[in-house]
Amino acid sequence: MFFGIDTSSFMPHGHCILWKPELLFPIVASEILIFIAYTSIPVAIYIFQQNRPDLNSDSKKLLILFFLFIQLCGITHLISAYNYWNSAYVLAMFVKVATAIVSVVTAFMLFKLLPRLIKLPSPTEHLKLIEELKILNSQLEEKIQERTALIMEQKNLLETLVEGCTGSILKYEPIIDDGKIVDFHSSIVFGKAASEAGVDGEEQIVGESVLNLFPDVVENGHFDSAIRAFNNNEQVIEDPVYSKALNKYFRVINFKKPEISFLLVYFTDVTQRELLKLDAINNSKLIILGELAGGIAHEINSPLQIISGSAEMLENSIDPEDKIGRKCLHNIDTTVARISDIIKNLKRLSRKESGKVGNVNICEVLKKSVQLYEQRIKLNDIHLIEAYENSSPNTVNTIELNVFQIVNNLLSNAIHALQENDGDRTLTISIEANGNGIDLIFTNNGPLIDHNIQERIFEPLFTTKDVGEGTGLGLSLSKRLAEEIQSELYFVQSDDSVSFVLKVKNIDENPAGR
Amino acid sequence: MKILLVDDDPTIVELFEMDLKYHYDDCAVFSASNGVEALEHCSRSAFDLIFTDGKMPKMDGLALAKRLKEINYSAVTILVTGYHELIDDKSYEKFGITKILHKPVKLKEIHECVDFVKDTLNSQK
Repeated sequence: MFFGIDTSSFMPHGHCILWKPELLFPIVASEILIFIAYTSIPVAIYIFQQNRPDLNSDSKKLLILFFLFIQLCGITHLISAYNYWNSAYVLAMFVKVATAIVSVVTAFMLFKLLPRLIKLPSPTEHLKLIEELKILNSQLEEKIQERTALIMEQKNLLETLVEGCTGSILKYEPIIDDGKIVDFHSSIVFGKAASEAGVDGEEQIVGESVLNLFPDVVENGHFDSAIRAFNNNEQVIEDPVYSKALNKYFRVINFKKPEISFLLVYFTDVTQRELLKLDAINNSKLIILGELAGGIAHEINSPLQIISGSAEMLENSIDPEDKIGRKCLHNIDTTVARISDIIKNLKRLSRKESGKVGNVNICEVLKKSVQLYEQRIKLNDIHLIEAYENSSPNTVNTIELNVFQIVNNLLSNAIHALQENDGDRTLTISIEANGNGIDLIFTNNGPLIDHNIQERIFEPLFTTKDVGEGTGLGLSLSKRLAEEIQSELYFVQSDDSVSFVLKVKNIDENPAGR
Repeated sequence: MKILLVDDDPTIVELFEMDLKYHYDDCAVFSASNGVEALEHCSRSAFDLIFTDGKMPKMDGLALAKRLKEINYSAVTILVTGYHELIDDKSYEKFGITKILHKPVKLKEIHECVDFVKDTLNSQK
């Protein structure tokens, strides 16, 4: 029963053609073949769809619709064949309705996709496109190779330049507070910035505060220069700038362009150059001093002549018993001799005058010098320990005048240093044999030599004495005098004493190679 | 014995003069303040010993000594100079200088020179 209709009384289709076999069998056979064909086509569609994962969703939908449409068509033909002997017309109706719906939808989808389908390139066009793409691809490859080669060349050039560069470049990014630059973040652009700047490891110069990294940049003006360059978009050169913390000189170029938001700081270590300059300046100071000394020597010697001559004449007129008078005259005599020696030695700063090399009794030299300073030592309450009296050996093959002058200078300096002591003032003079001569050691318990000036005390004109007190010539001259006699002058200090050592070596009068 | 002192510093001249007169009764001491004056004196008198300074205006001690040598003046010429050149006496011999003394010179050294010339003169008699 179907909706009140008794379907069991329906006639099979065979009746319509009166079961004539000439009609029945071809029709049925065809219906079955159509069914088989219409079933295989969906299989093909299925296989196609499986092998083409690139199909878009619209295409897939269309294929599914065709699949259904063709399959349903096939099924209707099979039911038609079946219904020649049966009357399953209700089933046929349902399948036919389904087929009709699917075919309408399929037709609709097909027409919808038609414009796109028409636009699909033909195989020829497709191949042509592929060929063109291949050509473009190979051209691109070529261009890439060219560019890569160029980049490599420039990279090599840059690497070579960087390797050869003695400087470094830092990038400074300003830290602004209340509209003003208060510090910079610094990072390395290239170069061995870290080691040159005396900082451990490059990590420490990445985003680090400049004021923390280089504490003396405010003092030495670099900070102000950097700010100026940044604010004015200009180049500010600092050459040289001295870092007290690192004890190095740098040539610094601070550079900013409007197009970039940070400051570039190029810096090179020029310490060697500056030291050479200082050396040259020192040398020329010495030469000038020597020349000056030479010039005034005559001027001083004439007045000295008058003093000395007058003193000698006085000796004739004073009472032989007048001990004080005689002592004074003796002082005048020795002092005139000292002044004369000083003048002589001033000139020696610039001239290579050599005294005579001979066997020098160091103890005698020390005694003579001490004698000259006896008064000053007593006046300054200095406890003098002469620990050289019975030392042996006590002779060296050298130039006596040089040793004498150096000893004088060291004694004078020691006395001056000890004046700073309120309490105990002790000066010890001792000698020791070294491998090839004798060491003269002057030890005092005066103030220690400051770390900052230790390297400078042998410089000409460098002095720690007050204005008018010293010329600063003593130690520089003494060093020269020591070098002249192939000897060394240096100092060592402990926690509570300073010792100046004059290492007098036997002069090799026939040095090898000359 | 006649001695000529040549120096542009009058105090030094005075000093040497005082000293020589004190120690030597038989010496006549004259003075000049430069080489030109000294030559004038020499043209008028025969000096036995001349002490001359180095640097002086108009004519210095070296030029004076050379001139005296050229005219075969027989005085012993001693250069008393404030310049500390370490050149030995021999180099100055060709200029007619017998000895060089460096200021400040001890009066004793002056006396030695006077004694030497005195002895020489005595031995010649």
